[in-house]
Amino acid sequence: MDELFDKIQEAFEDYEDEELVELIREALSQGAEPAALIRFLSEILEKIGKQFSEGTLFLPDMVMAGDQMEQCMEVIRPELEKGKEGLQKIGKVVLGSVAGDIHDIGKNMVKAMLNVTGFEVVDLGTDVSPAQFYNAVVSEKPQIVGLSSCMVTTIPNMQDTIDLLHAKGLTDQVKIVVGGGSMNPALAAQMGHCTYGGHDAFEAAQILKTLVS
Amino acid sequence: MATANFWTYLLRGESGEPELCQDFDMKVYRTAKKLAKKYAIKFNPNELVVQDDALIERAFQAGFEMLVTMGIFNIDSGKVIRFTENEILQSIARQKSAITLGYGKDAFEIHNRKIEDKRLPVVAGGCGNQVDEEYRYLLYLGYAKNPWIDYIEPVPPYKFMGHLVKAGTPFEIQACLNNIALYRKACLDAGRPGMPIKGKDGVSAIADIATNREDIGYRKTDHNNVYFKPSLKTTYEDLNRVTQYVQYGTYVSTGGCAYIGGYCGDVEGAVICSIAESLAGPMLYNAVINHNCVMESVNPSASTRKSLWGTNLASAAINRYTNLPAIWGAYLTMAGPCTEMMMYEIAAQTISTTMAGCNPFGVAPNQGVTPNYCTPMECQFMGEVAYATTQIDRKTAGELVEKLVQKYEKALETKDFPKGKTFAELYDLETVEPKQEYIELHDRIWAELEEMGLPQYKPTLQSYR
Repeated sequence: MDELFDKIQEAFEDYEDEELVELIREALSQGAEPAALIRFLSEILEKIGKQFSEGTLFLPDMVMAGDQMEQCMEVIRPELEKGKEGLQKIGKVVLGSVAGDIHDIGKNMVKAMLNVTGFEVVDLGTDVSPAQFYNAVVSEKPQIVGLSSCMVTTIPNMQDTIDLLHAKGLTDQVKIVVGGGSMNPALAAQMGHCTYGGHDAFEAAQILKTLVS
Repeated sequence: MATANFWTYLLRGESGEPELCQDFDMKVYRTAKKLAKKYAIKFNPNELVVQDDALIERAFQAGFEMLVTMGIFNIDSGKVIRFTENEILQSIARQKSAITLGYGKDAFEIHNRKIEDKRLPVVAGGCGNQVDEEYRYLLYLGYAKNPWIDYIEPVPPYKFMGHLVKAGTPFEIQACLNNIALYRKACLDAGRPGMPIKGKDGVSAIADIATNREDIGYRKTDHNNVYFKPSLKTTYEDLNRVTQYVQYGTYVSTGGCAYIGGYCGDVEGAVICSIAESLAGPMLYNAVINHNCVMESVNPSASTRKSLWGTNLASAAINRYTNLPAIWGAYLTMAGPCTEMMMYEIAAQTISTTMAGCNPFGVAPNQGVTPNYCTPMECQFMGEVAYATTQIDRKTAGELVEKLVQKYEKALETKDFPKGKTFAELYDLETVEPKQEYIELHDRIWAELEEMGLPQYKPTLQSYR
């Protein structure tokens, strides 16, 4: 079985999607525990996340790794359900760039980093209105909502979003994390009801992990 | 020619092949990797000012092939705008090598400069930091009366009647107009009424368009920025800006801003994408002024070895093989005003970009995110370093940049950046001149630079022969 797990790791790291899915099927048919397989794949993801933070892997690698994990999960999930084991995500995050802001590279990096850290991420995209954030918080029931602003002139839209969530009584149920190029800790403190999400994607994942622990 | 083809290119974004944005992004990644290998483009951390002309040529070829292979993706229509090899070559052949900015006695030409160009560059000041209303006029006056600074980019609108300015609203439009009016007044008070403005950033298209008016807004002798979305992408909002700029009759500036670690992949891919965007700019955006910027994205910085090498290589390639005037210097620093680290960062970035043929532009200290942490002194120092760089050769520039990076790179690793001081702390607000503390630091750093091998630019009678 060790040899098979080595092959899975190799296929995962080489982005050999079809081979990877076949190897996962083979491992399950040979009696591998679904939970053990997930733990193993999560360790690979963690390693990829670390390489990303060190600058040796890049956003596309993270996106491909996230896609591969999902493909593996599609094979593993039915086996999990048979055994009534649940896949444990560490938390759910609703993420988006606030109204008027169409910058997405930083947000996408945070999304990729959160995915490989074990969060379930609902990405609302860019130019997301306060009402869209509100609706997503109500329907998705995340632990965290992440707001990104990369322009000074979209910070007021971020404030509008926070104000709406607070006025609707949701700030007791969901933690608001703010980030992006125009954000800094002092500004976050000034806006109220939110936490500064850090300087980069890696730091953001660490902060969010702390918030859900 | 560019304007004549404007609608032709734009319409390709309606009739081109449909594509999903995420598929386009992944194709960019794979193509950049493939081209980096094909053209043997490899990051060299020990050669931050590229000495190898063959590498510069290969980088240009790779960027050219990238644009032909990928085109530019219109995110809103979901279609790819394609360009042929011949169209790109025609575009390069017809580019103007100099543009006149400003008017009257304050007008000047900004040139396409080549690698190791001995001509003095144009210096563009300004910064991306927000500035409180009470200091804004004084800051502009400080820039306008500084003889090292030819023109500036106004700081972004910040507050209007005590409220933070919100994008896409009447407040933003009015705040932008107020901002420009303040800048014009400062230029007038400094005796430079025709001093131009470098295009504004960070505002919505509606505010951009609304402020293009000869009486109190942006004039036709200024230039307006419009960028690509990373990587090799555009939107209707950007194209709307261009359409208005074209009809208004103003100059358009754009550039290849590529992010290391994004969909370009590593720095080699970012160089290739940056060059490809600079080639697309004159065709799709009617750009007549360019810049190349290769920036770190995971830990955002323009001062790292990768960022310096990438910006130098992409700039050198475009400046050598096209006629576009380029404007890029030391835009972002990690450290703040009146700190040794910031001065070293400015010097390293400016030597590298000036040697590659750029006209210097900057400086936004503390990554441009701390309000009021910016002064004219940073721009003056950048200009002085750029002038000095015209006196040295490429090899010396490389040695200097290496020494400067060694002075601050430990702080980049530990993310321990000195924040510095604000405009009000560093400038006498009555005379609008730097205080002794900043002058002393400036002089001390210059003594160090001269010791390292960068003599200050001091014209002699010999200079005029």
